[in-house]
Amino acid sequence: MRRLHHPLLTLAPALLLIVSILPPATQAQSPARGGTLTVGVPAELKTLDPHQSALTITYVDLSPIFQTLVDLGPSLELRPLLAASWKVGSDNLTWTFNLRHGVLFHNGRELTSRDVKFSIERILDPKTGARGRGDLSAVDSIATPDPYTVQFKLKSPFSVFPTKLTTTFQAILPVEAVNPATNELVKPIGTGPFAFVEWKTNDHLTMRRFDRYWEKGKPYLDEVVIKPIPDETVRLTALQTGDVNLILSVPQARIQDLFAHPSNDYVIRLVRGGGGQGVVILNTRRKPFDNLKIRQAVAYALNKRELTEAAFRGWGHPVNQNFAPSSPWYLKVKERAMDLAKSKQLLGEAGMPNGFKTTATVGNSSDLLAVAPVYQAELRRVGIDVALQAFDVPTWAKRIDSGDFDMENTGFFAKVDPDDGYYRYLHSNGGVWQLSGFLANPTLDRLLDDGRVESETEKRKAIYAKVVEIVQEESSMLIYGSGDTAAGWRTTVRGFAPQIIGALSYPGGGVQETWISK
Amino acid sequence: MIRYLQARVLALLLILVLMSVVVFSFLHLTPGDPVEAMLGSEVDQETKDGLRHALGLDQPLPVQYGLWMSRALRGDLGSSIQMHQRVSALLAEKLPVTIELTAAASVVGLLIALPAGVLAAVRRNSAVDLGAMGIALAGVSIPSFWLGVMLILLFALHWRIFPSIGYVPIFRDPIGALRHLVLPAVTLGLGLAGTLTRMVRSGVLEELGHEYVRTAKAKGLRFPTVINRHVLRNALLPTLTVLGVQVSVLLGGAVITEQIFAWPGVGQLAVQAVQSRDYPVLQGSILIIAVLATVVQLVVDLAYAFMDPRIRLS
Amino acid sequence: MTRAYRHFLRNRLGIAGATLAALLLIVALGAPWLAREDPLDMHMAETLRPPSAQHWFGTDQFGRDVWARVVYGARLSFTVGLVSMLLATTLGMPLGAAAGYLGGTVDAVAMRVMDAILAFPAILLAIGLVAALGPGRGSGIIAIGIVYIPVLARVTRGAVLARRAEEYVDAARAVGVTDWGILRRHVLPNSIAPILVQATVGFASAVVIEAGLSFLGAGTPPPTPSWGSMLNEARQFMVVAPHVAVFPGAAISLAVLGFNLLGDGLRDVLDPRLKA
Repeated sequence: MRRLHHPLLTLAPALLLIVSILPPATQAQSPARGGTLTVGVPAELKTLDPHQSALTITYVDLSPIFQTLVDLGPSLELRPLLAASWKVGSDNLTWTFNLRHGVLFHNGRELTSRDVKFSIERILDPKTGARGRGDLSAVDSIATPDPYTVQFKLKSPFSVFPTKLTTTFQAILPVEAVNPATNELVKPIGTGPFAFVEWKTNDHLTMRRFDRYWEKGKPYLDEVVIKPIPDETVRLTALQTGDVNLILSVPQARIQDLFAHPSNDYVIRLVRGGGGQGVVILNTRRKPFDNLKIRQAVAYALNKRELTEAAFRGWGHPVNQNFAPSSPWYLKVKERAMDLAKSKQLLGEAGMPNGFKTTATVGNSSDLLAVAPVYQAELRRVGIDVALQAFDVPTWAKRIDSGDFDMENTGFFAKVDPDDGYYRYLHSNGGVWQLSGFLANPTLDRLLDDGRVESETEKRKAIYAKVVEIVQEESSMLIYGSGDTAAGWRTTVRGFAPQIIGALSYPGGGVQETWISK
Repeated sequence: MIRYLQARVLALLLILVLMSVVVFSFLHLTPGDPVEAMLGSEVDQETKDGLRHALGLDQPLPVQYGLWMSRALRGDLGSSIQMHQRVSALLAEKLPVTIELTAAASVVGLLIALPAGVLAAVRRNSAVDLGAMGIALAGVSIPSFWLGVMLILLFALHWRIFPSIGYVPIFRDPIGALRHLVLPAVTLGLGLAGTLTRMVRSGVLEELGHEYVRTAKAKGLRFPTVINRHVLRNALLPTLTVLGVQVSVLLGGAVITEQIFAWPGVGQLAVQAVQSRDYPVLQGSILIIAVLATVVQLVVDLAYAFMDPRIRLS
Repeated sequence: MTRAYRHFLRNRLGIAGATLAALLLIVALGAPWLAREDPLDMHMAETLRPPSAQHWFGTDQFGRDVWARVVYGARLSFTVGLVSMLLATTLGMPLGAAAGYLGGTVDAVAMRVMDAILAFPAILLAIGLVAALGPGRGSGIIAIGIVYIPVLARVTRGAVLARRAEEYVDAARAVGVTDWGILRRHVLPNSIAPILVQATVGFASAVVIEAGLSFLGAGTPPPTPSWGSMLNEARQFMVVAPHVAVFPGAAISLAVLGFNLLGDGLRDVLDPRLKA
């Protein structure tokens, strides 16, 4: 009889009581399979071909489908992806990349070095018009000694060469995905965690989990649906009501207010440097911007504080180069202050003392439209009459890419490295030369080439400081500010961490790690 | 009746032809070179010539129109410059969305206007009458884009009753579809409600003044019965014709409503086409909406003719 | 008793409408004096401020004075309304008069063409015309004007038809007055009433259509203040700064209300037979 009154038994009810009133242990919940992630993005894709667009939205949308040899982690550090490892030879010119084994394309075929060679050569082909062409211009030849090894032989040493293979613009496509006669992408097939299902322009881009994705066990989501919602208020509202469960750019004007009034239904996370850099571009091939004095007159009339405020609403800093002030690559180069008198003087010297008329080609998304009226007003002060012509983003991108603009404004996403920050825009062989207004300056070309070869940090900083000085002097690529942004997602969305440049899928984070809790 | 039908259908065909001329002329009204307007000026000559030829711009005008019409009648409205899809495919995809929105807005408009108009007429000059007329006036004056955004703020954001934006196909998820339908339908339908309320009210008032009503009342028939059986029928007929015209207005208003609520309909397609200077898409979408409006009007007119014994028996 | 009451009410509304319309005219004409500040002047340090003594309607997202922009927006709206209706009347009236007076094939052809244009939803046709004519301030005005030509033509035709049947026309013709003389001296002057009513109501529609076009980005290009584009731009900031949207929206509503009421009032006074 006494056995029943074991001391532990009397403790049991007490223990139960204590356990029940303790806060529940934060279980490291294991990811649940299933669910659909709906993402609201600010712009529409121009094309499904990752090689044929320079728009940011390309890698945002397509990164879950297409992958690259190496890619950028959450803070833009270099990470292996399709290449498990790489090294440079003793000649400093031969880079060997070892591919992972057993990586399958969405059509079931295994990735081999032949696909890598094909994809990189397609990017290098001028006819493709690839944004990444200038990045890879150092490549002399590509060898494929065996199915899992790719060797790049460079023309000259390039210490940060692997960073040139990052972002979806450098995606690896299977040979059979491209029609050899037309160089058109026939089917959007990649190696990513999600396979393409359908694309209805201005409605949605749908992708489904690729069950034979090479990262075992991932992804967890069934589907990712991307909806372009150019109106930033509607996009944010959609997150707040749950119509989408993730957005990557919260309107800056609302960030303060959202932090002040947090919600139980969604989370807002600041992404420092995520806003990228804002820039106003003058086309040196169009009158009167072919005249240096005119360009400088414009530069002196712009007010960087005003432009930064319009672009980033309290979350930006005026800059004079393509990096955030917090970046280690932000160099000491004297700022050029606004000076309306100097501007008018330069206009007079150029023979246009009363100003002139010109047009600005603007893309129809909230962030781009926010800045244009500001420089329009600023230039009016010196007599320059800018007419704004708005187009929807894909059409606008086409116009800019073909050089069909007098002036325009756009944004550059955060840069990894000064070669990343300057080469492709400024070098005559850079790949997106239109984004510096086709600035032709041989000294600049030389400096940019030198910067690639040099490996010592201090020497590189000196080279690029000169680059920034010249760019500022030439006044065709007028970078005015750098800013933060914020991403938001519903509390049911777990495992997602925003990358600084905003790709949806990237090594170490993104949608392949994401799951929906019930 | 048959003769009436014949006449109307003939008139319809004529109008459709004339409308197509109007739409066709859009491309030719551009002050500059339409091909350059569409593609930009830095595109190579080959591409420009290719588009010029594809659009038939190198032919004389009447030939162009003939070609365009013959293709259009076969369902070939050309291809989108920007989206590389056939215009007819795009329209087929997006037209049901616009129709759904417009139909729902018509229902909302009628649901508000009928009771409100009748009540206002029956209780003439009372607070109810003034209130209903006030709201009707507001409905007509307040721009739908303002109304739509305010509704989103209140009902979607503040009170979380309805979703803010988006379209859900009705067969995929009926409940979701309905929830997404409410705010856009109300935004678009309120204006209609305003116009119709006044019409219903004056129609009912006019009927009420007629002798047979007084006779019925004198006979002791209960008022609601009188209303239901006679007054409504006679008063609503003119409203019906107005509804036909109003559908045209609704379809126009759908353009703005689709923008606010991000509904992938033909209106949104048209606005998109303006911004991308995509003339084939613009022409196609305007044409289809106008044709739809005209056909609906014809159907409504025929329904009216059928219901009005004076025409039916002539 | 009730009839007199109704008449009085109606008139009151008409007077209210006239007052609002006159207010719009005064604001539009007096914009430079009423505005107190340049509507295009940006102050990025003072964005989205609520209404205050210095800025009666607050400031917008570029630090511009909203009161000044609303006032100058009145000028734009009034101009659009006036010019587009003038255009529509100048072209539509002779067309409708000819159709109504001459009848026969002229009437049939002209009216079928007018019907075809009327079959288009107004804003849709306006969008198409603006896309064709290219961006610019004038495009919106011309587009709306063209859209309303058939409306004015129809009204004129109807009025002319009604007058043509009158006896004095036959009498005048018998005496030898030319068709044009008849039109000028007898028919048209008596037809002004419905045309005026229609133009007034059309004015209200023009204001809304212009606002709608600007809202869609197809109207007056920036930075000219337009109530419609102000409303469109304000959407992004509605939660943090509702005043930026409230005032232009209210302005549009009041202007439209005013001219609608004025039109109704004119209809009552000038020609009660036309009551809808």
